Amino acid sequence: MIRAYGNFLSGINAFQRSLEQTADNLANVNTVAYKRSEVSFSDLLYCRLQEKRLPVAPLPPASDPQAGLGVRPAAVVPFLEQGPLAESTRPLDLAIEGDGFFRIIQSDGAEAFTRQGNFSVDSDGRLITAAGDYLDTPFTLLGMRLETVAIGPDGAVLAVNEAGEIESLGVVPLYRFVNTAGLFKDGGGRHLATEASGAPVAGVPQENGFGTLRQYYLEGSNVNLGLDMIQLMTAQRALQANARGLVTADELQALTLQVRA
Amino acid sequence: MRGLYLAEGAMLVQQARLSLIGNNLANLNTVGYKRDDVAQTSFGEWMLYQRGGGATPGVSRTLPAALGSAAHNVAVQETVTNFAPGPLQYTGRNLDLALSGDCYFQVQKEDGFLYTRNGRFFIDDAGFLVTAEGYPVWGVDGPLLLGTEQVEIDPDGTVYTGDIVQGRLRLVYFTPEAEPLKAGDNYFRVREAAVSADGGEGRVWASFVEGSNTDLVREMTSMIQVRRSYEAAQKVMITYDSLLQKAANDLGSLY
Repeated sequence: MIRAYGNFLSGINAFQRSLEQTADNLANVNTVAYKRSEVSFSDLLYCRLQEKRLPVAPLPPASDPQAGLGVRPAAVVPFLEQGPLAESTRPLDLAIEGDGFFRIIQSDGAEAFTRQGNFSVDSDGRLITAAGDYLDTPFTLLGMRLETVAIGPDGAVLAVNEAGEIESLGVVPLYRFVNTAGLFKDGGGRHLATEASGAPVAGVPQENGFGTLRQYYLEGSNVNLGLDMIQLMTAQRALQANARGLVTADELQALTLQVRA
Repeated sequence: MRGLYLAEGAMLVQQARLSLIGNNLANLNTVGYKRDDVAQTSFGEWMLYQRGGGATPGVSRTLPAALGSAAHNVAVQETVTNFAPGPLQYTGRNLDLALSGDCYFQVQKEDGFLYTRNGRFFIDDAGFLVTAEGYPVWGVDGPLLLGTEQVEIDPDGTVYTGDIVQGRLRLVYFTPEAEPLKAGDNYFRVREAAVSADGGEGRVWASFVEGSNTDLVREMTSMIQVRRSYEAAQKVMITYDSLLQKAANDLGSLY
């Protein structure tokens, strides 16, 4: 049995995984506040060639030749850089410029974190995300004129009520994590806190390193077409090279069998 | 019969080569990977002499005539890791670090230190700089505690948050007797005393990673060589088999 089969197979699997991730990135080139990810690979363990029953010279320098066993996806690395800010005309579009997440509550009461700031208002005056989760704020917009809502860079929210008076409603809080890369991506722009990310730390925009809020802006996707096209090309060619290797391993096998044709 | 075993040896060595090519190609996109090559050797040579002594005119009858030399067999002598630097690839991620110069990052596993050129690091929930496997990365004074992802890293390895110096990465150099062995997961293992923190010319480049140094064209070419060498050895084996067939079946028969 040719031992190289496993190595080429692991390569094909790895680059397939890489292609899937690149496709995911490219599909989200226009998703609000999307953060691209890359698959990172590690080589597998090395074993002694002798253990693979391959001939090793018992002569000095006997450095005990090793052969690798292939590759595995080691991590999906999220790229957390700021996405570009795009202007909008909606008063409830909010972008975070810098560090921080909005805390949202899902319909089942579970908390999640997002940077997608394209909010709207439900019948109770709560700010809700496109997915229907509501933003965790100490106030509601019930009885306010929506077109007058003003949100400052420090998160302070002002609005004019039905009586025509300006009211100061409170501050939109932000949250951050020791290890943002450890958050679990739950789809729909939601991120869940995990043991790896650490517990959320609450704060106020523009204080202690938290980011700035920008009303009338949305954070774009940070997918970089150039980088992802390069990923696509390298993964595709690498996959082909490994497939070619698999064919070669098979040809060696066939040659062995032809010895007694 | 000797020729059969020689041909088999040649085929097995080619299988070993293909196995290494397979590993190199599978790790075409593995950060900090260093490719392996096979060095093959023959087990000494010996002289073949004509049976029954020399019939060559002018040569004493007591000395058999030499026919030429033959190898006992072939085998893999060693696998050689090529430490040539890989290409630096821009990623834009602040915790992606590439090295230039012959230096390595030092990380701590439970059972000892490992060394790597893979600078794709993370912050763990306690704020330490760690690898993808969660092993702490060492600074000059032990595991590097940063507490935040918002850091900038200078070419000399100094880590800043704003203007505050958080620490400095420890870069180590292998001494000639290090004999680094691959330990999987992009790590190298060396003998404890065989690293030094001096050497000087190592630099850290943030927002870059060092790609694999596998050369696709080279590996594909080697693969063709393997394929043809294997085929040649196979032909030798078949030829030898037909010689043996003649010896066994035809030599003793009258018709």
